[in-house]
Amino acid sequence: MVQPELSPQSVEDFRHNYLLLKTEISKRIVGYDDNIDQVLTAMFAGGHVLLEGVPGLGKTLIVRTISEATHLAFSRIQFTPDLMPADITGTNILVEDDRGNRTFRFQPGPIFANLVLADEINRATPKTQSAILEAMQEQGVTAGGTTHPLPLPFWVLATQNPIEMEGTYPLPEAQVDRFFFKVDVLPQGEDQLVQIIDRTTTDDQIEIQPVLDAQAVLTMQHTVRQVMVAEFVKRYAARLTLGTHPDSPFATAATRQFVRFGVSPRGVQTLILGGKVKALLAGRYTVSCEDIRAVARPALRHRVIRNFEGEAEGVSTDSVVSSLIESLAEPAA
Amino acid sequence: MEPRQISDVLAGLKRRQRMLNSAAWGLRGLFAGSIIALVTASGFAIAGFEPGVDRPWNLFWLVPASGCLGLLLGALRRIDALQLARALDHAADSEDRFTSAMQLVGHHRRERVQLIVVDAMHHISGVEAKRVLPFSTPKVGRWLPGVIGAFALLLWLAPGRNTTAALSPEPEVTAEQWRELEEKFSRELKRNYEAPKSHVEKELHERLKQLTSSLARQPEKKQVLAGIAKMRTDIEKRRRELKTGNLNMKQAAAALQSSELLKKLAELLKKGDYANASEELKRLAEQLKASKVNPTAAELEAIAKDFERLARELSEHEGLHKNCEQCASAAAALNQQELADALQRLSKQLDENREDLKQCESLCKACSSLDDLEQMLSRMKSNKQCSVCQGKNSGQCPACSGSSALAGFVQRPGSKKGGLKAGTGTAAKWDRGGLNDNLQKNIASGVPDQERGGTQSTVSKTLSADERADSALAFKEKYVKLVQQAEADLALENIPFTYRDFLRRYFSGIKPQEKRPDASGDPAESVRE
Repeated sequence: MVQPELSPQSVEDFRHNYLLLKTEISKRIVGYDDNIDQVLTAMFAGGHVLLEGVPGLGKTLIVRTISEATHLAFSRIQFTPDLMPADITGTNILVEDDRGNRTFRFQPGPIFANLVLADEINRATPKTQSAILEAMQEQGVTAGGTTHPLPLPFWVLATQNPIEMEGTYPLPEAQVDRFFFKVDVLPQGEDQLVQIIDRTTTDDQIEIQPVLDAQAVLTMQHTVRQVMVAEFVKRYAARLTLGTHPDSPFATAATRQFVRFGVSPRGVQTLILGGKVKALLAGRYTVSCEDIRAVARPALRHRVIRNFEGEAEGVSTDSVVSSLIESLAEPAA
Repeated sequence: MEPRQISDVLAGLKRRQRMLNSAAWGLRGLFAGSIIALVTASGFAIAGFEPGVDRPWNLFWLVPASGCLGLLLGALRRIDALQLARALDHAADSEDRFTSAMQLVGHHRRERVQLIVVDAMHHISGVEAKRVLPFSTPKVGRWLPGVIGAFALLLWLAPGRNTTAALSPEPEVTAEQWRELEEKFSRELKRNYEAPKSHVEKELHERLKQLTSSLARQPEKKQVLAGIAKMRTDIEKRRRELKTGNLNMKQAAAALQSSELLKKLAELLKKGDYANASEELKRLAEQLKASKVNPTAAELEAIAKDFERLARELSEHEGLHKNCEQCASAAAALNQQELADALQRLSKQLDENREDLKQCESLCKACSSLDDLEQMLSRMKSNKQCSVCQGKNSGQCPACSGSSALAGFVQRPGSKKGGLKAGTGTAAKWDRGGLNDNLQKNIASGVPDQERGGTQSTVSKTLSADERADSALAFKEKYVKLVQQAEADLALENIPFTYRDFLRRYFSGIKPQEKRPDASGDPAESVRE
């Protein structure tokens, strides 16, 4: 299918669809505007999202609501320690046809969906985690020497609980890096809790209508890629990324003190793609430095590896990124 | 079209930025210039402004000069287009649209670029360059009025400028004075050298004329005095080379005043006509020998006296002196024949030394002219401000008064104890080695008041024994010197103790006695010699 060229209409359509989807989600989700924006930004930028938060904050509900608001094939995988990779990716099974011939046939796992909810991903063993992370990266599953492409759009929303350490397998840094954004789901305020009470403790049913189909999502993802980025914005994103490296000239004092490893090139890609979504939402055809800053925290926070001092001091990667954003000047010459 | 719009917008912004840079750097330049001028002027103020020295008004020009330099530097500063574009985006609140358009204008995705440019131009439309690049006074601009004010105050408080002193120092002798001197001396030369007789006289006349013409160029007074001294040295050297030495025959001729027979000879000598003088002596000798002239004893005695005086005047020349003495002896002995012979020898001697005497006469004449010129110079009032009385040499101050013995020896402000030391004076201040009154008093300070005759003036004429000339030294002053010398000798203990009282009694005996104040008559008569 031929994708439309970037035009005022395509930008308007993007904004319209985005707002439509967000409005639909907001019917059920109270608050979390920023979180929903981050999740949808990652969705239209073609990236996967890791939602981290204590139990009961609505992480799973957000994902489920998104699936209901879109005509996307949705599957949910509850990660447990005994979950095997084949349970996710699928496996070759022996089947017998009408004539009695037995053949192996690939039985796709729950990962073969447009929207996959990897609930409590850190409860599975690293082997199982690797299976889904490989699929996320490759956009396909290899079984019995055959690669099976995943349906497009393919989007994984993983959740994890940061407080329970027993019986969990924290995701290795290399695998966390594959997530486009890491969204911190924080407790809501009083007003939001009152609204949650109203919405969930009555017999009122909130109907979520699907507003987008897969094709619309793909079109929107294509529109995002058409947004252009000027040299100075690219340099700003690059400097921001380099600023997370302790030995970089752009590094801040906090970076030098508390960071062990900085952000990989995936980080700068994430900044630009996230910035493009933000630019479209602002009705622009080009990315601004402000767009980069808007996506910097969710894009970089899980890619910055703290050193021992940083962990001992309890310094969050968010504060490191924030100090970098505040201190780094935009290219002006 | 769109890229051109972007470049047009940028060009407008660049013009504005250049103007702002010039203004800001101009202010910085003014500030820097003011600071430098203030510091320098403060340094002058602390060091103290010398009277007559131009005060640092010229430093004022440093301020606008540095301002202009700042303007130039500001105008030449590099202007970055990205900075301007970002400023425009900031002013238009266009979220980096214009900057992105500017940087993406050359991208191969022309449709998208056009979309971006149109969007950017739409968002920045109506934004004026003034809003994009507002003028903000640099921090130094706030301090500038204060610094300039302080500098102006410092200049205002500084001593006044002495423009005349700064422009040209006042000459010691004015042009008018030089002209007067030249005219006066020229007249003097014309009178003295109406018809130069010898080549030496001509040569000296020429040199004097050169000296006169140099006055027209208004030289320094000391230059003229140096010229005079040089010429005088030269004359003295030439006079020493002559056999006649320092003989002044014209002056010597004045000794021939008693005898009637020698009157013609005296006149010829006074005229410097030595050839005829020699002839006159020869003729007189012949007449005496031939007894054509028979002088009386009184006449011969007068001749003897005249020749005796002449011999003394010509003592520097052995031959003339001896012949004159012989003439005097012969005349005194009333020996007519011997006188005739002596006159003949004198005539011959005079004839032999004729040229030398003429040269000597010329040299003396030139020397006299130089003396005249020197006196004229010394009589001229200096135009320079006197450092003692701070006046224009009114003559009332002993330092600037030309006739004062203290001239050149008064301790000036700032000079060290003891006044001007040897070697620091000028020829103009030379007092010919004379002692001033104070020094004279100091010399006599060892003599008691009684011996010095109190404070009353006792100056009188003292005739010499032979009554040839007047003595200018008063006996009383001479007495004081003698007493002083005697006391100095007594102090050395070279004289036996028993003789000391005798010596003192002797001086007591010759002590001049003064006339009482109520007594009348010539003070000279009251002085016992």
